[in-house]
Amino acid sequence: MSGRPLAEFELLVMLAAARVPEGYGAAIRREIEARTGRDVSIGALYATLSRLEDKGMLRVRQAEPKPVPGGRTRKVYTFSPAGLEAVRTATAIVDRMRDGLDLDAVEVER
Amino acid sequence: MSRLWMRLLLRVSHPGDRTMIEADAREEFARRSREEGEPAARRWLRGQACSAIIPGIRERWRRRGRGIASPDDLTSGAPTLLADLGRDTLLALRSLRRSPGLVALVVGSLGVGIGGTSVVFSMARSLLYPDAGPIAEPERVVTVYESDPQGTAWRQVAHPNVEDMRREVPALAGVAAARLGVVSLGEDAGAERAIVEIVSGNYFEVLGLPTTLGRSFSAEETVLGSAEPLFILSYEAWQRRFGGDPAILGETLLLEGRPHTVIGVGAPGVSSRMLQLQVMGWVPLGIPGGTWNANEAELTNRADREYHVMARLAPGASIEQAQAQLDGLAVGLEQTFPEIWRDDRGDARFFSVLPERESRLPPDFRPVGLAVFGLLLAGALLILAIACMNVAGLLLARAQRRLAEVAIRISIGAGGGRIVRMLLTESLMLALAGGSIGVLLTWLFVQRGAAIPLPGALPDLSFSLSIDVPVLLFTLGVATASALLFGLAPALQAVRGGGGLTRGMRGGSRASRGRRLLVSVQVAGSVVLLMATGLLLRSVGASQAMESGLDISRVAVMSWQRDADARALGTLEALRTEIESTANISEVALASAAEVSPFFDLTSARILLPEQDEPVVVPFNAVSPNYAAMVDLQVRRGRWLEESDRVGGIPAVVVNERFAEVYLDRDPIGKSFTIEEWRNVSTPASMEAIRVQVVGVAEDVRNSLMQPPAPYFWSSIYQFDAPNPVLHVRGPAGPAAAAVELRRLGGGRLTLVGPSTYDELAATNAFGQEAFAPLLAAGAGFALVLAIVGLGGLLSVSVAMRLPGLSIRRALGASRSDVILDVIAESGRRTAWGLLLGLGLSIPAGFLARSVLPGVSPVDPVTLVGTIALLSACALGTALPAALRAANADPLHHLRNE
Repeated sequence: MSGRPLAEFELLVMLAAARVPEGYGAAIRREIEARTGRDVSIGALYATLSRLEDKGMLRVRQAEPKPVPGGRTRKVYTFSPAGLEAVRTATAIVDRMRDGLDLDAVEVER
Repeated sequence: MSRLWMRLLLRVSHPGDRTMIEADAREEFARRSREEGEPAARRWLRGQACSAIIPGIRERWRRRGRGIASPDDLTSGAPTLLADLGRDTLLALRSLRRSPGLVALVVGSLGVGIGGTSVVFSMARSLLYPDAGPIAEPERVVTVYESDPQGTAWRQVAHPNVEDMRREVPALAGVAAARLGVVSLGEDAGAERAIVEIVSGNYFEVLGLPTTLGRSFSAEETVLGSAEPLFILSYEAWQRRFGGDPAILGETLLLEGRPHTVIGVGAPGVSSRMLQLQVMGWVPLGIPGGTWNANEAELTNRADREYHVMARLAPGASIEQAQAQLDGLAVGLEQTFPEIWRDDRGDARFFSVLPERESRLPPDFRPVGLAVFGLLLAGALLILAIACMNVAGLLLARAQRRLAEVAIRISIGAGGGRIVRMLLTESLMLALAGGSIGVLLTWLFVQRGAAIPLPGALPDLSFSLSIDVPVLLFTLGVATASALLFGLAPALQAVRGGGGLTRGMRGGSRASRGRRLLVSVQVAGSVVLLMATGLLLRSVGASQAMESGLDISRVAVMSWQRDADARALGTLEALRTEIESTANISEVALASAAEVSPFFDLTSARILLPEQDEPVVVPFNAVSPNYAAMVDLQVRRGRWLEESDRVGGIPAVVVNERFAEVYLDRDPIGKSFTIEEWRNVSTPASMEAIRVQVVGVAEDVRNSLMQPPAPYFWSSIYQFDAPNPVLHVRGPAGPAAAAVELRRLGGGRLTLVGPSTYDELAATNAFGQEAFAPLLAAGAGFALVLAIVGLGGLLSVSVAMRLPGLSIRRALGASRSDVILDVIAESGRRTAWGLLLGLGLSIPAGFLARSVLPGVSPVDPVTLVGTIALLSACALGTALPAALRAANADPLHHLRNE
């Protein structure tokens, strides 16, 4: 893998983009909010999407507007090969760190 | 939906993302309003706006200069900025060229305003954070101090201790001593008084000071006691008095009536190490007979601490090592001379070392220096602020006239930001031009040297100043800040007013509100300055009129340095008889101190009062019996000192009323107390306890105008011999003639110091205020001129703006006097608000500054009425022409234009 590894929020955004079928911003935000249970800053989300796009992790295309009055064009985000590779690496790191670790057995000081 | 928070959210986000963010946020806001209610949705939006700030900033930074622009921000981006600046500058130059009168007025008033702050700043810098000047390796040069009788660390050193340092402190490779002296220069009649530095022979060598011409002193020429009368001229004095003529080398100058040979000229910019004073030149210490106070008696007296000591650290030695070795020397001195080495509190004295650069002002004077310069700077900034408001007023008026131009520019596509930038560039250029004038004025001031006149025949105190990079940077900063201050309002005004072509041609109501406010604020600023000046001038007047309690107008005074010879030869009586036998002097009184001067406490005593355990230190004056009559000191109870109060019997003292009140009870006559020890500043304390009896109570004397009378007492000079008595003389031809007579006597075998009339000496008490009064008066005068110009300008513009309205009123039947009254009333209202605001600011400030304004109430009626009357007159004076113009205008002309 080249470049810096994905930051935590970037990884969340990438994973959410992989999950939603129509990968536009609002859907990605809702996906993260639903799964993490916390509010996502819209400003931070779109800044991160731009950054991922500049890093070549996400591809962007303009989708046709919905056929309703006031319907707008939307940016739809899809993975690039580098993006997929980066997500693989990042999740693999977490997996390897977790491998064989029984969290219930971790000693906790109260 | 909360529009404010939505706008904020979009504002802080990167322009490239705004469309998507808006869509998303609206959708989510709608959903949350439906499901959780509107308040919750609003809370969410608020959170979103706040949490978008940092990502937005980061995103802008990340994408800077990459041409990612939004449709509403087409002209931003770094590459165009420089081109814009160039275009703005050209535009500004072109438009400023069209109004040369305005430019001259603006640049002139800004120049004086900025120059004032620069002058104060350069003075503060030179005194508080000076340059090393031409000293070689200045970081190796240190100043050594001895502690004073009160235990304050940073005072001068006695000369025998300097010689000890040379022998016993190896960390100091060379130790130089210097003191300031005031000498007469030239022949008797045309003699001029000059400040010289009297220095040890190694002074130039230790400091590594070069000479411009000739040479410095050699060791053989400057052996103490047989030093040759040589003179090194300062560069500045050489230029000023001798036109830089190199033939001065080898010439002789008469100093104190004695010929001195000029052997060299110092390097430019070398001032006295103390206080950065400009001196006439340098004389070696140890000329037989001495120079001014620096005579044999002083050089050998371990208790007379008069010398400023500078030393060069030995190679490899640190300032800490020097301090440690000096501490050792101090211990030795305490063992050898225990009485001399103890201070008034009974503690051992000590030496302190400081880097030379930090010691032009002793550290304990620094806070005072900072406070004084802080006040001066505040005054200068206030004047500058008034100048800025003035300029803002003029530019507002100009902006009003230019509304049409701005409206056209906007309608052909210039953005608001662009217009503001263009107008701000104009302001900046005006400010920079003003700043250049300011630097020029500062330079002129620096060239002249900041001279503070001293009373009487004393020479002016001139400080060495310089313009350097920090001063230039300061000036640039002040100029830029003032450009923002006076430029922003008119620029914003222009954009707001220029919303549309038709509106732009007419101008809005906001503009006139801003102008009205400006007039009031400007009047307020002038009030503050006028009040400050008025109070100060009144205070100086009051101090002069304030009774010290003594009548000193017919008395001349001088100090007499008795060297060992004089002490052995003559008694005080013989001296008295000798002086009284000369022409122009009929009577001589002797005293150990001059009471109405800074030297009122030269002698002090530690006394133990009846029924008290702790001794107190009280200043006193040892006088001859005729002293009270000479200065008209009134005895309230009991009797004054008499000729019979000679040595033998219980010595008699007279206390002042304050002394009786504080230390004795209602009937002090016949009470006695013990003088445990007493000292004159230049002698070791006398250790023998003396019991004295109070024989009388005299009136309180105001020694200093700043302080109320404190406990004081008088004793007979025959019992408390003063080594350097102050001679008070009176003659048939008046004090000035008597002073001249004394000066003539001084040329002979008597070492007479500083003969002057007593009034001159007493005037040094009010010296601080008198030095600042002209400065403040000049400042207030300038502010008043600014206020008049500003008021006039603003009024004429606002009348011009109101002309259409006034014309309609005229057409509808209002008389000329109605219009005149209307305009004058309007100006009166503005002035009244300004007066109220200014008085509201200056009266509390006056109460805060009461301690520096003796004898005057902060609500001094003369100052108050004077200020109000002066400003009202100015307001009326400027309103009247404008009113007349309005009344004489042709109504039809204006109605047609409408």
